[in-house]
Amino acid sequence: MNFWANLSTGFSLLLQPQNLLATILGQLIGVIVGILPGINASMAVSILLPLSFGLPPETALMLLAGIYMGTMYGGSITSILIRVPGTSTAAVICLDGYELTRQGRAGLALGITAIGSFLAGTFALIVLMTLAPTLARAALAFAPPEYFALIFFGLLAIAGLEEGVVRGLIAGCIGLLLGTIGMDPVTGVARFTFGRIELLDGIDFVAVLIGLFAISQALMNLERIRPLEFYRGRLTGMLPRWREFKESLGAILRGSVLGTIVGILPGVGATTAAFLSYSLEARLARDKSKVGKGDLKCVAGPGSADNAAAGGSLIPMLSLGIPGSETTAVLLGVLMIYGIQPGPLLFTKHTGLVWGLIVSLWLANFLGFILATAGVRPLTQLLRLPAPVMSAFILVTGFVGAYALNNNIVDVWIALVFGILGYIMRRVNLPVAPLILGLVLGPLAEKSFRQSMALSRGDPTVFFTRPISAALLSVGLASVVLPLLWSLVKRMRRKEAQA
Amino acid sequence: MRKAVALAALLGILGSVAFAGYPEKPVEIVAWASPGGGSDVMCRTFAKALETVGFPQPLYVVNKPGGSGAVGMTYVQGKPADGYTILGVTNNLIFTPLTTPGFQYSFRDFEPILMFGYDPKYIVVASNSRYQTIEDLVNFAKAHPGEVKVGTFGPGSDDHVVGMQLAQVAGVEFNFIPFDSGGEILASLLGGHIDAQVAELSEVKGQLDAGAVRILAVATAERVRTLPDVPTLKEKGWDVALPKFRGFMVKKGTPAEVVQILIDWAVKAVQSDVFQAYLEAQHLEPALVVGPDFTKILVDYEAAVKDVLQALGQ
Repeated sequence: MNFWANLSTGFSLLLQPQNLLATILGQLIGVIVGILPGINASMAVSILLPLSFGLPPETALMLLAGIYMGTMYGGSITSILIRVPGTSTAAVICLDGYELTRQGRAGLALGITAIGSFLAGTFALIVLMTLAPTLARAALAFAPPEYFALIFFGLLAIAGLEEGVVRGLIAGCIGLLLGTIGMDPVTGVARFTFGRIELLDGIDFVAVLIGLFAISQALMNLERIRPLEFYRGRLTGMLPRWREFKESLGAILRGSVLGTIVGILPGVGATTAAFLSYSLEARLARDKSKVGKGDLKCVAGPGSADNAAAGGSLIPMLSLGIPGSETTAVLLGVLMIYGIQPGPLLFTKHTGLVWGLIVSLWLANFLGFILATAGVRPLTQLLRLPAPVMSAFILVTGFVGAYALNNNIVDVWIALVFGILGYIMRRVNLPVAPLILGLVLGPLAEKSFRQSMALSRGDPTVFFTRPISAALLSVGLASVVLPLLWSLVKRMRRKEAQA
Repeated sequence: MRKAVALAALLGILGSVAFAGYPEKPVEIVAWASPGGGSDVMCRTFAKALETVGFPQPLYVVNKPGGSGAVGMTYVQGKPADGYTILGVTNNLIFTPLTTPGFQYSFRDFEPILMFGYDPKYIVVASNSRYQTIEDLVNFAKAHPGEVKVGTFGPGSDDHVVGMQLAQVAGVEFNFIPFDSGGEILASLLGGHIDAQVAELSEVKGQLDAGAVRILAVATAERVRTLPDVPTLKEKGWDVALPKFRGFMVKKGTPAEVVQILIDWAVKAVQSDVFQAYLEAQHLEPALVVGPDFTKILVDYEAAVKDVLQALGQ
């Protein structure tokens, strides 16, 4: 079977009316689910799974995979417009996306995310079509030490996120500490759970985010007894201009590559991809003072990375039968319900199904782009709502979203507590981004670190004797040490010149 | 006033015979996993199966994830014992109360409806592994204590306990590596970072078909129907049999009549085509055990794992 024959098989499957309809419907549902806070892709796919019973397997798979792709488009919309993450994958977009909204550039943020998502999704799908088995096998070389190096690379950004290094470190350490709440990954001992079973799995970072962003904003407004400080001027820049697109193209490409790689790795998914991309963009930024204050690149990068990761996670799923993310694990379950055994033989045994799915993902990706771009204008009009209505809307959405995460009132309390913490942090001028990076990446770093130490039976050189992990760690360390040395050299030279 | 009293009395009489009419309102099925998790699929398929056999009321699946089932158990205990809240259970029903300090409920707080089957636990290695048989693996571990790396879902998980019990009865020491998902464990096994894993068949079936992994043994009392060539640990002289049972329960104190009605419906449901297809697709071993017989299994199960789990819980 050659590539073009496979592709045409895929197209002939997709062009059957019920399959076309399934793809379009899935994409639509996905975008809506993405917009709704608290409901993520894997939940939507499982809840809608019974609807697909009775459909032929390829139709069902197209519907559900369409939902998966759609959520990646929808999630960033809520993050940008009201600073409540629509999905965990889009959480990091709240940081700079909402700042752009406050500057009246919501259209720009939405537009660049849509374009970035499209390009990244396309990139991941090209990789899926051409290199899937090779890359999936290559990803198996990734062991806990490599995961640790990758995550550590992302954590390093904490120090350089905002102007104040010390403030960043304080916030980052709070995040790391919060990340230790829950069951110890190696010994199973409960840490800082105060006997609450709800805390055994750790605190849900989306609930934390809702608190830090949405609830704390409401508290700030209460204090000033003035309505929300929304941008009241003209909502200019509906779509990015060429210059702005060119500015973010680098971030989009980096996000696409990073996202695809992270997506392929079974241990990390789209959320991690988005956070790592943010951390990368923040460190590459020439003007560090703009990071966290509406840097377009910090929106474009993560906005692309999550879509690429969604596509990338299909690579191990389809070529090896290993889920690359929570949602692909559910999709694998769907295959099994239809009596199709996922595994290395899927590509050869069910060629039509696999290629039909790939082609339908192309269509889904394109539809998502159309929907998201067409939605920019009407969605930004939402911001014209009177401020009190808007702030009530944000609070309600935030609390409902927190509850929907795990169907548990505890998450609402967490959101409230972090609303108060977020308020304090704003008052004392502590940045929020390092806290979130610490909270999201910290547990991953701890787990992979301790797995590595268990594998090496306590020998720490394991991180430096393995090529990938050694390379990642040295690049990371160099990126911290070199700028320091550079500024030292510059200062010495200046002194010499003065002397 | 007198009319009101008469009405109330009448309603009281109606109320007391209400269970005869069970179910007269929608029934909730609680899954202690997030949507898409194993227990969620189980509950959703059960709901679907009850519908197809004509259960007279709507059924809703409610997800209460967290604490390896602890959140779900607590939620059901907070509901009235009236049979309108059903809990989907696995062997976490035994494990979680023993490993969660201060957790107040156990399987004794629930009334069994039925157990419908179980996931056998298999000892799996990559096909290029040096271990051809389970004896190879155990003998190597005996000669090299702590060198055989075994991937599991971490302490307190059933696959970890299977590994620990094998180590105990065979007198060897394994190096357990904890993971968060089956995908990670499998990728580590195929990548050669760990030597063996304890897995359910559905997690490794694709790799088995493709010849990428080899199954050395199964931790059940007897050989399993799906893979009759795989030896049990027991027949090799290591008595480790801890299948992950699956079933449904309600809160203790539910009227016996209601429980009986539920048992009748549940038996019909698990025998339906929808549910049998699920058992087949998930490579589960069917084993229908109803009511009090299920409790007996639970008591034995708890006795079998109590020591090793409490040692972990310290």
